Amino acid sequence: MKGRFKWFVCLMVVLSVLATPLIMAAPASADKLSDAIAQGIADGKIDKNAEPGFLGIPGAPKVNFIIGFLWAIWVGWIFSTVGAFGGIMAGVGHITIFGLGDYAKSFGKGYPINKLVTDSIRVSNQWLVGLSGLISSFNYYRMGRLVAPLGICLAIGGVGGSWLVPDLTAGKISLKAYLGYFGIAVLALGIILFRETTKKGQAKRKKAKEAAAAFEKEAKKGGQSDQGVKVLEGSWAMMFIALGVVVASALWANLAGGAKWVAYVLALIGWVLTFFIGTIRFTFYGVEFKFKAFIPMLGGIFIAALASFLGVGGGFLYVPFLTSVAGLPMFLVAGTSGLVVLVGMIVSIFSYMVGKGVPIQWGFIGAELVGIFIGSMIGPRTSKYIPDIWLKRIFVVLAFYVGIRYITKGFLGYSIVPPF
Amino acid sequence: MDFMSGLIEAVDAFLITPYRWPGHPVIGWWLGTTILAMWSVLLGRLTIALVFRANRSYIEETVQEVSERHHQSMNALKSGDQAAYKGINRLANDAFGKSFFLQIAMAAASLWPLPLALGWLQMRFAAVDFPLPVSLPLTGNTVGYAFIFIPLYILVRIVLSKFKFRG
Repeated sequence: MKGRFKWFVCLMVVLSVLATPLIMAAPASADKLSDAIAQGIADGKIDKNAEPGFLGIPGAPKVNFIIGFLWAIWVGWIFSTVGAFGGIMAGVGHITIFGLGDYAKSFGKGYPINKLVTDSIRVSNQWLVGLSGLISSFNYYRMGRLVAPLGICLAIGGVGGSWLVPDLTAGKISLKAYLGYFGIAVLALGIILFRETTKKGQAKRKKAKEAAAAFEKEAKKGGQSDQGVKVLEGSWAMMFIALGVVVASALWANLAGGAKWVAYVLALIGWVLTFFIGTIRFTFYGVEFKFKAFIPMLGGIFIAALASFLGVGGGFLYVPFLTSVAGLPMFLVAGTSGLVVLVGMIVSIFSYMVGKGVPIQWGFIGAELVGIFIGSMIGPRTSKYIPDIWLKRIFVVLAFYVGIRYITKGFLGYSIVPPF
Repeated sequence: MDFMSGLIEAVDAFLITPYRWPGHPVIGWWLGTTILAMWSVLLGRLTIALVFRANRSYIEETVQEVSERHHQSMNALKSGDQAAYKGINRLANDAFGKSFFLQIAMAAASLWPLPLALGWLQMRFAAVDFPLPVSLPLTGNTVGYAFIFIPLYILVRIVLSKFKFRG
């Protein structure tokens, strides 16, 4: 079974990757942008003699590579010290630090350039995390830590959610609204982090550490335990059919000229089929786990939709979902969620590029990648000097600040925290 | 001029040279682009090797913590202590989160040449349409630079991964 799954995964990844650049080559993206620029010039909002900036739009802020680079170092530092918050920080960078947010907003809501820039920001966010996710996912499946049925069910939901959301929202979200929603997500993260820093949260952690120490030496009960994942129950055929149908829906949505309803129907069929997969049972370390196939599917839809709407990876959402809701051990969740994030990302980026022709600034992404890995080298060196709890506290403050600022700027039109 | 644009133009002369060697545009395109893919892969590998070396002890520490928490949580689970399992599993997740995102950040080290290569190709070949031998049902019979380069990059990366470089 592992061999079959391996080939299937390879095939899906290769197909998705092949299809993505295929669409980037389409002249549609250039036309859409030049039309929007022409309209801006005609309406007097763009001075066509101004020096070209972001995306080649005359008069747009010149994306300052130095600032982008420095910000990316900060993101890489966060990734290597605290972890999950990095993706959010990348998003904050694109929106605020690089001034892209204010520029797009200056055109006013509903203006074509506004939407194009907003979508471009979302895509740039995703490329950053998605490209890196590619590497880790391959490592995980090679290590044999994927619970195939779990990954497939998540992907069934995730792939559908990933294309549907950009499809329904690309070009319709103004920067203001995007800011507001982004702010809500950041604030939510801040609240979660905050709970861990409270006395109660810390006491829980201490108790867990004590228990961990106690179980360090405990002999394995139950004799020779089978350490691998062994799937006992679950319809493989149905799983692959459902996944294939949902992937087909994503491809159709992005490649076919018309008849979008076919894609919608395919996605729906794929999701309905999941209910027929039944209960999936598997053992790990001799302990049995089970889950109804549609639960991870629903989770996958919600998380992928959220992730592709905001433009930041859903990775940090999948893990808590799988461990809290499904009660699965970390060891298995790790590789599985990595793969799902990857598939979701590919389809999501694909949907943006194909469906709505959003352009990307390559040089900028290159600078950011360089900054990220440099940051990832600084993090390990500074982590000795900053205790975990203080790192968390810093980020709670940051999260609250960014969250409140974006929410109020997005939905009220002005920020209630400085700079106003 | 932006730092990155300046960098791209500085290597432009270097990158375009192989394209001109064969004296035939199409062969030159394939040769030059394959060599570009090779440079991208090799630069990436060199960089990530450096990053690994720089972070080696931190990586080992993080990975070890993940492994320890995993075993502890499994022991708790097998002995039937659900509460302990849940608590230790959370610690395992925290440790995993650290390790996972550290890897993502380091992965950027192997990928950074890719967008730069695409940016350069865009500068040189954006206006070029490459005809396909057959007409694909949904895309017609021409494609752009990215359609060729990204799969080529992946192929070169896979091929070169078979070779282990010492040092």
